[in-house]
Amino acid sequence: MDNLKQEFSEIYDKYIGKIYRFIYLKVSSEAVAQDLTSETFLRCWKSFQKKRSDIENVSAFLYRIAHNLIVDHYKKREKEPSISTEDRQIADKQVGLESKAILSSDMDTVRAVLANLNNDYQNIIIWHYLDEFSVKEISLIMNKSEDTTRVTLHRALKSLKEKLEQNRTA
Amino acid sequence: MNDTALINQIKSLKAIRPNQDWVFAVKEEILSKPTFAQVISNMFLQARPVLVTVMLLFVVLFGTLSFVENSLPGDILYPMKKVAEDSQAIFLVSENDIAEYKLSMANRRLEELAKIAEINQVKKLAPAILAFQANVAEAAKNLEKVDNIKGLAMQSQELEKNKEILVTMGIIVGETEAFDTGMAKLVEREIKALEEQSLSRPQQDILISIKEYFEQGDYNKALIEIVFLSFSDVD
Repeated sequence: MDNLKQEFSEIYDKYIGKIYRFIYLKVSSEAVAQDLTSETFLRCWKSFQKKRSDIENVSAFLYRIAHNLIVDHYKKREKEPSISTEDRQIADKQVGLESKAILSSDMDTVRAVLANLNNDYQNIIIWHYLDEFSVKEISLIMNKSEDTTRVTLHRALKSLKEKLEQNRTA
Repeated sequence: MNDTALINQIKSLKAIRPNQDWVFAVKEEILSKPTFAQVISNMFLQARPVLVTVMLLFVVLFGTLSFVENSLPGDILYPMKKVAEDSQAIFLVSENDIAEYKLSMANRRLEELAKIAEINQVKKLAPAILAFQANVAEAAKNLEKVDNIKGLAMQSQELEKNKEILVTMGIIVGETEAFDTGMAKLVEREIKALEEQSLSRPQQDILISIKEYFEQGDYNKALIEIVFLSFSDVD
């Protein structure tokens, strides 16, 4: 058990920032990102304890849990009364000082436009440019061939560029 | 904007980082949670072994039974639920009881479908519908042998009610042809038997309603009326 704890501790240290950022870029709320990130690692730890050998690719496993939690989060939100844009702005003001101070308006624009891309495009941009996964590593996470992943990456970047330009001219 | 500038802008999002106090606190919390095995181990060490063993067995058994009872088609424990249901049927002797029991199981399948729809587990819908159709087909086999229709009429009414509830939830359980045929034969037999009896005026009126429902194919309502007729006043 100590070895397992040690191993999980190392995985936690390695991926906590990436998973948090991955979730934050999709939910745009620090509180929600913290909740979903902690739940992601808790579920990972429970799976570790059940059967570590079942988890071949830890990073893919973590992103899969995170993705499912994000989907569940949005499904629950759909069922609840909708939040007005005023509330959403108040929630953004509660973003921690670290994030808020650092995000300049250009970065915030990129973040907002990225959040509006389709899921695959968002993910591949985050994984490649922010988490610095290689095309091969991403292809394993997405369960696609390297060629398909490369094409998706190219299209994702193109889509982001077009939307940023549309945003500027709007 | 060229690609390099765009990529640099994307990379600026690396500045998004979690609060370090929060990172530390979450790690501590996750790794400090005892595993289930550790909880059990502590209980054995700290309490009287025999008493703990008995209590645990009780909890596991009760917990398992509870989980089995509440399991739905597609769940791991669901086959155990089916085994438990089938084992109960072994003790039934009369054809009436068997038919009634099988129809009550079909009703249980519809209740499971409603639960599945409520919790939005779409993947379980198909196996649940198949389970219902299998139960109804089983119930259809015994219909003709039923001679006391009161219990059957109640279960049939419950079935119609449950089907209507599912329709409001957007779930159609499909045709139950064998069951409808069995019901038609049962009602037809009952009508013939009633025609041969000496009926009071009110009972004759009810018989007319029964025949109308039969013609319309509403065997459930016909059956209810047949039960009602047997309790209605005699001249």
